[in-house]
Amino acid sequence: MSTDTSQNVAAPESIFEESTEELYEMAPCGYLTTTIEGRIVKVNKTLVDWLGYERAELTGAKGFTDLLTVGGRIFYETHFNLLLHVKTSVDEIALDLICKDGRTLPTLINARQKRDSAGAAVVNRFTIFNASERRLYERELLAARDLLRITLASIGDGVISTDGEGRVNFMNPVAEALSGWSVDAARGRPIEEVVVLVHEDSGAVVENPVSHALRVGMVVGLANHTILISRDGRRIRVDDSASPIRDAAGSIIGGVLVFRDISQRRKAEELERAQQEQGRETARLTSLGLMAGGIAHDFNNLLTAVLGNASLLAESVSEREAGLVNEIIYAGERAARLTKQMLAYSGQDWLEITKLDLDAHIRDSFALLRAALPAGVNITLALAGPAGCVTEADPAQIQQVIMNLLINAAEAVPEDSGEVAIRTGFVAHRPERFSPHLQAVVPGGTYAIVEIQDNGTGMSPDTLKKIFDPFFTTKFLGRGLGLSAALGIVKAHRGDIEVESEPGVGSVFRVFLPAAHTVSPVLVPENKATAVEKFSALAPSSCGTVLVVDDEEIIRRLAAGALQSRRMHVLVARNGQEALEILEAEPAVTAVILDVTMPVMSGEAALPLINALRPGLPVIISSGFNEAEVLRRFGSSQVAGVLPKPYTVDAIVSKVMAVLQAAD
Amino acid sequence: MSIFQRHNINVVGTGEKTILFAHGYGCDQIMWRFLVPAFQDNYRLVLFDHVGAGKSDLSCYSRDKYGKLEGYAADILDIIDAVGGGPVIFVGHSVSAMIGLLAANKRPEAFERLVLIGPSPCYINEGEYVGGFTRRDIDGLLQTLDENHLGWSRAMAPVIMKNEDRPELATELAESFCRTDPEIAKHFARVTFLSDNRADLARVTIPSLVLQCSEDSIAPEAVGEFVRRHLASSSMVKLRATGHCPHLSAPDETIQSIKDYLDRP
Repeated sequence: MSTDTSQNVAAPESIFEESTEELYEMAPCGYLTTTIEGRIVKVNKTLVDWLGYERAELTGAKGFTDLLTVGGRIFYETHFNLLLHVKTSVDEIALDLICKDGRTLPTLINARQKRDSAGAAVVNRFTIFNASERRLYERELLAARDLLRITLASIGDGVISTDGEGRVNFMNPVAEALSGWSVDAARGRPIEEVVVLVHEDSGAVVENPVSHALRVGMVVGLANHTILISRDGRRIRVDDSASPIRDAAGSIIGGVLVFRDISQRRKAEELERAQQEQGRETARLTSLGLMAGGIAHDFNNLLTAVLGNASLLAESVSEREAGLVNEIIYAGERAARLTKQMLAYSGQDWLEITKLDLDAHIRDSFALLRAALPAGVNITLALAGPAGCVTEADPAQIQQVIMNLLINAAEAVPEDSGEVAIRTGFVAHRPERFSPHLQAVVPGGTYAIVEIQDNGTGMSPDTLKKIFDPFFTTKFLGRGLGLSAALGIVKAHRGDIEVESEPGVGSVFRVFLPAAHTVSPVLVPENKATAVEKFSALAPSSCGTVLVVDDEEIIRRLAAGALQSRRMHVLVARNGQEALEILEAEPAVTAVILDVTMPVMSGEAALPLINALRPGLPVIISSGFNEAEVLRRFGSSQVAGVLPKPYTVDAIVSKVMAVLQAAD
Repeated sequence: MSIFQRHNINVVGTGEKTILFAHGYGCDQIMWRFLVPAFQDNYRLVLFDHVGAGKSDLSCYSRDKYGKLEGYAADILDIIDAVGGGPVIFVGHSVSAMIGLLAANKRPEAFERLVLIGPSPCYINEGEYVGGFTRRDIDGLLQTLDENHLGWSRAMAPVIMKNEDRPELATELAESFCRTDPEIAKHFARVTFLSDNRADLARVTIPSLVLQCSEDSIAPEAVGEFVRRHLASSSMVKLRATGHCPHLSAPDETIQSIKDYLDRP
């Protein structure tokens, strides 16, 4: 029979008996006692073993701080020891002890200071726990915390987390900057107090997305057009979202709001929209200009024939019939003026640039300007003087601009109490700017200014947007070309125009023209007027053979009739190709009148070939384009003169004779 | 925000002369508790907390201003102005000894005497100068500070203690002792232990006393001697007390040394 003694035999009680000495020496923690000065006077075996010293190497021989790392020693002297003296008790201080072999032993230390009956400190007692594993874990935690903190601080968005009741417990620096709250001030406050969100338009408070997310347990995005009201009152456009934070079991333990300032993005979007709108407006105005220029160009051809033939007819009919012909001429000239306005708007009108003293020009033409306006309208002049008001411009065109603006003003003011002021001045440093009316950037520089102000009905913003459009008018009888022509002329002069208007108050139109000393002339002035004067008085005579090149038959017939009436021999061609063929066959040709736009071979293509075939043969360009445009198109080719369409018989004869005279 | 609130200024005692006590790194004005009773009958005592320490207004802490000891020195002059303009007897511990010197150089007329407890003009070894530490040692301190953050609030929390021996050590005051924002503590540590004000010593014109502890591992005796040697009109008393805080570990000896110095004509 066997007996199991292991269950029945009790361990001797002596096994559980421990002497005080044994408890001290063998405890699972280190014990250390020092004098107040820090000298070690007692240490238990556990600590002696951990550190690897002989007991005698510690007691009486070392101070407590000798066992510390240098950083730990500083901490001891600046924190630990002070606390001990003030509180007599310090717990759970993390310090590394240095073992005899140089290893460090991570520990947690509690300390008590014993005082005598007089209150004087006597000894310090330390309880030291081996915290190697725990310290590793804490260091991992610290590293993770630092990584999280650095990551959150590096995020460009604001991040705020809350507890399950929506009370703030964390904010990253971006969130602090946007909300105006420091994390310390915000901690524990309801998210609605720290992140105040309102609708951009209504100003109504929007439900905080964190509260919403906590309520529904789902990710919630901010409503569009949300404004964050910061603690210091700033209004910041924000967007983004909130999410519930769940623990491992899926329970909601908090919420997190991620938001960003989208003010700059919104501004960029608005700028892009404005640029697109501006692009569309530019394209619209370009199309209008092309259309106006095209119509004017074709009308010029027709009017050239009408006016030219009418003037020829007037020479050969009776006096009674001549009156009817003059009516035709009068109507044709009015049509030509309209065409000229359209050309001006398209920037293709004829310019005769000269140095122009604006003040003198306005003063000289004041009587003419005054006569064009109703008598009841009072016009005042405020001229700045010639010092700054000299520009390089076509005087007739500038007069046209002023006239058009004055007529516009006079039509806006009351007939009996209208006030219109004409002012001049100059601005020394007008910065570069985008002109909404020209839809172009106007360079900075010195500008002369003409200002026309009225006390009329003013214009609404919608009207203001369209006033320079051709054919736009608010008047019953208006043709809608006056302001568009003025704009085209200003544009051709590389100037700018500004308008301020308020319904019921009046309008101010301000025309900027580059000051003479800072501006390169738009055109090299041709002393055309002098040439015309010089040759218009010449008696008609046989002056050789002129080749008229134009695809419009009525123009060819008009030119031929006009020149033949002055006893010139005329050949005609329908395009550049025919012209070259005629020139090869007819060496007697002494001058060519060349149209620009023609089928088969244009004037641009033909001119260099003509120059090459007949060097020195004078070629007059006949076109509805202005001289600048003609010179631009023909580049360096040899051009003897420009004959603008529509032209009269006198004009073509004078131009041809002037050119022939110069060639002699 | 008044200067008094910013620095938690407390004025106690009566006397014609004013002693301004400036605490060192790691603590606050409570460290002067054992000295106050010994001087308050004969002097007007001004105690304060540096911004970032004790019950100062932490919202006034600026890393720019307090990135140099000069920022703290400017505060000393503000405090002197706030309590009557001086001249004061300045008692500064550890880094505040140097802060006081900088303030005295800025406005000597505001100071009558300087008592420097455990001063060090430069803690880092440089060439033949032995300040006692290397930059790596200071990194070790920062790591120790970091490792004590986890338990910071608990370690610094009110200790319910029955201290019948020292009734003046009110629990309420002990609560906040050494408590400070961890980031400010680390910043102040860098500013303190990486400062070098050796060149400022020679400019000091105010009479001064250096109190040097035995076995002070923060400001060794050689450093105290360096300070004394470079300060005009200075003397040094070597205390029997060990460590870096004789006013806590050996208040009686410290009090007597200061009194002896102040009683000198």
